[in-house]
Amino acid sequence: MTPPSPPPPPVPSPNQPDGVPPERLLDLLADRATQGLDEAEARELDRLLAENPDVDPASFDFACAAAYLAMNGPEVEEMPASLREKVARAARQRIGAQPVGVASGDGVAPERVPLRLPAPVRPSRGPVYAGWVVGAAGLALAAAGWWPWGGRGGGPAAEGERMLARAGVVRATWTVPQTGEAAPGEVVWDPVACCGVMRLDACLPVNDPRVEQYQVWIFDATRDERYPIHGGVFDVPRDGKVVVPIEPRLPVREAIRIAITVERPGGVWVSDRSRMPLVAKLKTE
Amino acid sequence: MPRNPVAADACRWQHRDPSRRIAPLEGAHRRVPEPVLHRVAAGDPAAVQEVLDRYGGLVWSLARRLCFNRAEAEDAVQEIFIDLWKSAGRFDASVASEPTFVAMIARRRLVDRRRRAARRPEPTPTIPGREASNGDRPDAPPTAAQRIEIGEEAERAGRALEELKEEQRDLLRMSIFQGLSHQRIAEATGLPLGTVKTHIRRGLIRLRELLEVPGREVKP
Repeated sequence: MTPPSPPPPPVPSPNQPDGVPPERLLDLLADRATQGLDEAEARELDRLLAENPDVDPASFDFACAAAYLAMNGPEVEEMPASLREKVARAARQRIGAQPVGVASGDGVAPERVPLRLPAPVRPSRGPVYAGWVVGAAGLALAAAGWWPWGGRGGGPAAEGERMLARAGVVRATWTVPQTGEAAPGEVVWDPVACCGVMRLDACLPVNDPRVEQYQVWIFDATRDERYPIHGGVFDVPRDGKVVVPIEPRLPVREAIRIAITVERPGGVWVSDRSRMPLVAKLKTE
Repeated sequence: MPRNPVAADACRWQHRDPSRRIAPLEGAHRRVPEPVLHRVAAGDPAAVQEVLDRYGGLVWSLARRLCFNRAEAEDAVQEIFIDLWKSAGRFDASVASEPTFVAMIARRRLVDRRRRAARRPEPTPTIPGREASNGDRPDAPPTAAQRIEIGEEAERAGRALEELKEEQRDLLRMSIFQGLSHQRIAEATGLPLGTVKTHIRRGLIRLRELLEVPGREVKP
């Protein structure tokens, strides 16, 4: 049997008449600033601080921070770019909808900020995809005045416009694969962030989501061509204007083509590609 | 109960007279960048980029020094910046400089993480004055690649450190810079644990006092 833990050391009385804080409080503050406290010590510190309201609880922390800076000097190791991108992305989610990677006028390349998608809907059965369902459900943007992307504030349209300003972003136009004819709209793909936005301007028929839906596929040059990556499902509203984000569910290393197929509601795991109304080539294949 | 007048002075900073703020260095004409954290607190996304420009290297270097490996350092940096975004509204330039505030937020998180991982072996201590040529950490010491503005306060701290007793200064360096626990410092130096704690505490109190006293210029 484990013996009971020893009682904590005697705690000095609170503030002395002349306001001198107890030594134990100083010990705990110094310990916290230099090596941390366990739970019992942290509770004790809280209690002592409550009894000594004139004591600044952060005083030793500031002293340690200033001392560290003095000891280290002005030379530091640069933060890795990938880590910086992660931090910036998290900041964007917390602080605002504006891109946080915009260069601050110092020639630094803008950062790639991946798109944020609504939480996917859990599939109801079988291999049916949930993903984001666009259209009547409200994810597709079919706003008036959207041309060319129509993004104001947030949403995929605004993201599409912002993406266009980034270096290295790929733009591609839609083609009807059966005829080779161009179709109105375009795809913007960020090969670094591995996400994109696509726009369709009344080039696909309105669908009944109870019967069928459109599904997006991303073809990756490094993967088996038979198994493109699912990019979500969407519906076409009455005016035919659609702007949707493309966020692959699997890592994309080298996207070369975006395709749209017509599938059963919710999408499929593997398409037979019997109905593929549009394709956009991102790179020369 | 022993009384310590220095401690009494050093810990009454909460309600100090504004005139007792850290005095600027005489002859310091260097341009000090405007604080940016209040813009973060106001929800200005562009300010985030500035924070990363100014302090990304500082936080990363701190994490590299106080974490056990690179992967942990990356995790820690992400946590630190979340803390920083949350705490940005609490920054008060009259209490501490912005680099000191950022370093404090970072150190708190790193010390906490280190405490939680206390069962793991600590880095090999280096007693000041006997450092190996490759720095304090045996594994991948930080490579300087960027210069940052550490702030006038840190410069004052550097001078204040020179005024400490050598033993206090050395133990503070092992604790603050190398991130060693008091126990590990005691083992490395052969000093009793209580002595190590006392030196560190008194050194911190003295350091803060030197940073705080108005008009008291530490020797350049």
